[in-house]
Amino acid sequence: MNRFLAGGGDRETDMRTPKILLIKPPLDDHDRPIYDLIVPLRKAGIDPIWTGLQQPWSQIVKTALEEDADAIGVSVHTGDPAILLGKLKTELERAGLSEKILVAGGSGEITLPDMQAKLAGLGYKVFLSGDAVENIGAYIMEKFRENQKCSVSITEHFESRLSRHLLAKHITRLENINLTLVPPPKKKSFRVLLAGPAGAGKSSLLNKILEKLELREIKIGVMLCDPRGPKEKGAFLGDRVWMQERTLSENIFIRSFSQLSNYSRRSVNFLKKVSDLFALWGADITFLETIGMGQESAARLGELADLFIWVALPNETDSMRLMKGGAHELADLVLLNKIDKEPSFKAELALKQHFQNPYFKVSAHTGEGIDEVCEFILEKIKNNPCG
Amino acid sequence: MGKPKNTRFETLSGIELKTFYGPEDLPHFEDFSSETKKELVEWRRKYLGRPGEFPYPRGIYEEGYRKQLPTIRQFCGERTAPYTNELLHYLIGLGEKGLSVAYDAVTLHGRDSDSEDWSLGYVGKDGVAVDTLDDFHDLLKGISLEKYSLSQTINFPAIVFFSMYLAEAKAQEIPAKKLRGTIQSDILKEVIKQKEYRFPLKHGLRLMGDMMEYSIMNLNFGFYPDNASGYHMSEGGASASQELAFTLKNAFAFIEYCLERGMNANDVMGRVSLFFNCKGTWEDIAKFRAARRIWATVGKEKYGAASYRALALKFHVQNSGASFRSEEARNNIQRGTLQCLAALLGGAQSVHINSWNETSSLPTREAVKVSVRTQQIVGEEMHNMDIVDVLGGSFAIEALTWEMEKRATDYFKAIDEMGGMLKAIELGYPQFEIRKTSLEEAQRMKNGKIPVVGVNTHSGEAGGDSQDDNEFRRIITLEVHEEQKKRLAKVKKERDQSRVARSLERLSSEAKGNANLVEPVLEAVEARATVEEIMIKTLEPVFGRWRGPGD
Repeated sequence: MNRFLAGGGDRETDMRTPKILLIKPPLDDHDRPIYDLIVPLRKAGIDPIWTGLQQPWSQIVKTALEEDADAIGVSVHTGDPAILLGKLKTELERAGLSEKILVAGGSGEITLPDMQAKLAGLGYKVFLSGDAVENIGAYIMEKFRENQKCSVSITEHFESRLSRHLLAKHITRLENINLTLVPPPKKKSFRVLLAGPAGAGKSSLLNKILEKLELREIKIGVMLCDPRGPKEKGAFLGDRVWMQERTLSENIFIRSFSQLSNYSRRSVNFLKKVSDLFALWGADITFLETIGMGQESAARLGELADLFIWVALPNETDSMRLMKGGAHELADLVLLNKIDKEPSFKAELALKQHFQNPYFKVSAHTGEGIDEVCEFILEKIKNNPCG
Repeated sequence: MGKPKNTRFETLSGIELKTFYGPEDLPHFEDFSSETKKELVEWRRKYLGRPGEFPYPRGIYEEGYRKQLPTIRQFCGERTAPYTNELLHYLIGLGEKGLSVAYDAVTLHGRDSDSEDWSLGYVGKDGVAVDTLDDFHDLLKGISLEKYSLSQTINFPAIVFFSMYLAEAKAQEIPAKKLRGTIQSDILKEVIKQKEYRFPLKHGLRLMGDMMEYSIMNLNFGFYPDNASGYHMSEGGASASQELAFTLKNAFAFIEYCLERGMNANDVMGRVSLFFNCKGTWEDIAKFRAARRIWATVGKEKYGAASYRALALKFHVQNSGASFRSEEARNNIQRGTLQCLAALLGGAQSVHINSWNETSSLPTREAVKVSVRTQQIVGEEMHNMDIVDVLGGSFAIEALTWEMEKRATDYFKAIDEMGGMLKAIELGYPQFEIRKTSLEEAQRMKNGKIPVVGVNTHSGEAGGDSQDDNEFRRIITLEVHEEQKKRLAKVKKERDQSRVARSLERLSSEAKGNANLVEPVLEAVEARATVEEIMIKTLEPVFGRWRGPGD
C-alpha cells in the first residue's frame, strides 16, 4: 500500500504496492493453495488479502467492492470452473468492478486446455500447480503498473453522501495520491482506536463488538491494519478472517491497510482522512485496529482517537510493565482479554495502581464483558461534543 | 468372493499353502536350540499372535481373504439421482457387492440445488444431487438394501441421510435390523481437513452420537454410523503416521463422547469403522497393521471393550487420488494396481480404486471397469491372497509397523497433554501439523526427491500422451442444475406444507433440548423437508455457526 504510510517518498504519485484479494468459490474448501501463496506474494511486493472459506458470492463481491483490490485471485478445485469464474466476472461487473486483474488456478477441469481458453476469454490468466509462484507475482506487478499508468482518476466531486462503491474508490485514490483533499464531513464519525500487542485478540474482540453494534442500526466503518515486514515488502491482510460473519452487514464497511510499524504524521493524516471519508458515507463510528504494538511510543495515535482502547492480556500485564512507558499511556480504556483462560488478579492490581482510567475484563471467546464495552462506547458517543 | 470349503490352497505349481506362516515355518527352525525356539514362539505370541487373534496385527479373520475378499466399493455419483442409479446398476453388473454414493458439494454442505448464491456450478458435478427423500428413493431404485450394503460419504448433514436411508428401508419393507452399511459422519476430520462443517464441535458430536445411539437401539452390528476417516487428511498432506494418529484419536474422542452419554463400549466400538488412504508403500501396510493393534489394545485397556466385534478393527481403503497424474494418465492404472495390492496385503475390508482418467474429469465407464477389474485381478487371479498376512514376520514390515505405532502414540501423548483431541482440534494442532508436513512434501516434490514417473522423471522421452487419453467426459453443469431444480420444485409444490412446517418446528424445539434427533429428522425427511431446510434453516439457528482457526 501507500508509501506515505511508510513515511518515505514525497512525490504526489508514489506508486503504492498492489493488493490482491484471494478467494475460494462458495463451496470449495481446498484452502491449501491459498496458504502456499501468501508469503511468495508478499515477497513479490504484493499485499494478499484472505477472508476465509465458504462465503456466498454476495459476500465475496461485497468484500471485493470495499477492499477495491487491484487483483482478484481465485482458486478452483471443485465445481465447474467456467460457470464459477463466469459468475464471479458477471457479479464484479454488476458491482462496477470490471477493471480488476483476474488470475485463477486450481486442479481438475481447470487444467484442460479448452477450459483454459474459455477462461482466457473471460479475462482470467490461469496459473497451474506446475507454474512457478514467482510468475504469478510478476504477472500481477506488470498488469498493475500498466493500470496505474492509464488509470483514470475518479472525479473529485463529492456527493452529499458517498455510496459504498464511491467510498472504496475514494480511499484508493487517497492511497494513490497523498495530497488529495477530503472535504470535512458535516457530522464526523466517532473514532475508536483498538491497539495492543500482537496476539492480544484485537480482531476477535472487534468482531464481537461489531456483532453487538450491528444490531443497533448504526453505520460503522472499520480500518484493519496489518504490518509489512522488515524483509518482505507485502503485507498479509488477514484480519478479515476473524470477522467473516460481519462482512455481510449493509451497515458495516471494512477496509484493510498495510503499513510499517511507526505512525508517522503522514500515516496519521491518511487514516484521519479515511475516517472522514467513512463519515461522508454516513458512518457513526469508525474503528481502527492497529497492527500489534509494544513499547514503541506512538503519541500521534492519540490524535487519531476519540476513544483509545488498549487490549491487554492478563498474564502479560503487571506493575513492572505498566510503570514503563508505552502506548498504553494513551488509553482511555483497557480491555483485559482472554479472561476465560488466564487469571487476572495480578493484572487488575497493577491497573488499579498505575492506570487511572477504567478497565473491563472480557473474553472474545465466551463473549463475557462485550455488552459493557459496547455500552461504554455508545455512552462516549452520546457525550461526544463533536457528535 | 470366497472359495468353497474344502478347497486345497496351493501355488500354481501345486505347493500347498498354509493359512499363515510364523517363526515355526522358518527353514531351519528345528536347528535352533530349544531355548531359542521357545523365545521365538513366545515373541510371536506376544507381538504377532495369529490372524484373528487379539490384538489383530495379522488381520481380524482367522482365514483372512480365503473366506471373503474385500468388498469392491466404487465411490459413485454424478448428475441427478436417476442417472446415478443407472451407474450403480452398471457397477453391480460388474460384480460389486457394496455400493458407495458420492454426493455433490451442494449436498455435502447441507445446501439445496435451488439455493442460488451457493449452488451454481456445483449441482451434480462432483457427485449426485440429493435434496429430498424423493431423490434418495430414485437413487436406489431397484436396489435392495437387504442385498447390498450402502456406504454414504456424507458428514455435516449425515443425520439427514441416515434418516433417508431408514425411510427408504421402511419403504422397501426391510426391517432395520437387516441393514448393513456405513455413513461417514465424521465431523472431527471435517474440521481438521475437509472443512464441511458449520456447527460448534459439541453439536456436531451430538448429531453423531444421536445416530450411534439410534443404531444401537434399532440396528444390528454391520451398520456403521461412524466411519472415522484419515483419507482426506492424507490427501491434504498428512504423513502416514499423522493420518494414523489423528484418525484413531478422532475415533477415540467420539467413542469417549458416546461412553459419557452412557452407551456401552462394546456397542459403540463395534459400530465404528475407519477409512484410510493407500499410496502403495510399505509404510501403508505397516499403518494398517499398527491401526488394528492400537485399536484393539486401547479398546480393551482404556474403554473396557471385550467383544471381538468391538476390538477387531474394520476399515475401508481408497487409493491416493493425489498420486494420480494427468501427465501420461494411463500410468495411473499401474499406480492403482500396486496401491490395491498394498491395501489387500494390509488386510482392508473394503476397497475403492480410483479410475485412471479421473484427474481432470469424471471417469469414463471403461475406466471404472478397469478399476473394478484391477481389484478382481489382485484379489483372485494369482492366489496371492490365500496366505493371510503374508508379510507378517518380515523384518522390515514388523520394524515399520512398530515405528508407525510409536509415532502414533507419541502424537497421542502430545494431544493428551493439550487436554484431549477436541481441545487440540479447537486449537488447530492437527491442522497445523498436517500443513507443516504438506509444505515439506511440496518441497521434496519440487526438488525431485519424490520421483513421479512421467512428471519429474522419465518425462517426455517417448513423445507424450496418446490421443484418446485427452478425451474427457464432462457434465453439462447448467443443464443438470436446471433439471435438478425442476425435480426439487415439483417436490416442494406437491408436498404437504403444513406437515413440513410442523416437523421442522418439532425438530427445532427438540434440538434445543437433549432429545435424540434421529426421529424428528426422520419425520421431517418423510414430510419431504429438504436438506437445507433441516440443516441450515432449522438446526443452525439453534446450534450456531462456528469456524475453526483460519477457516
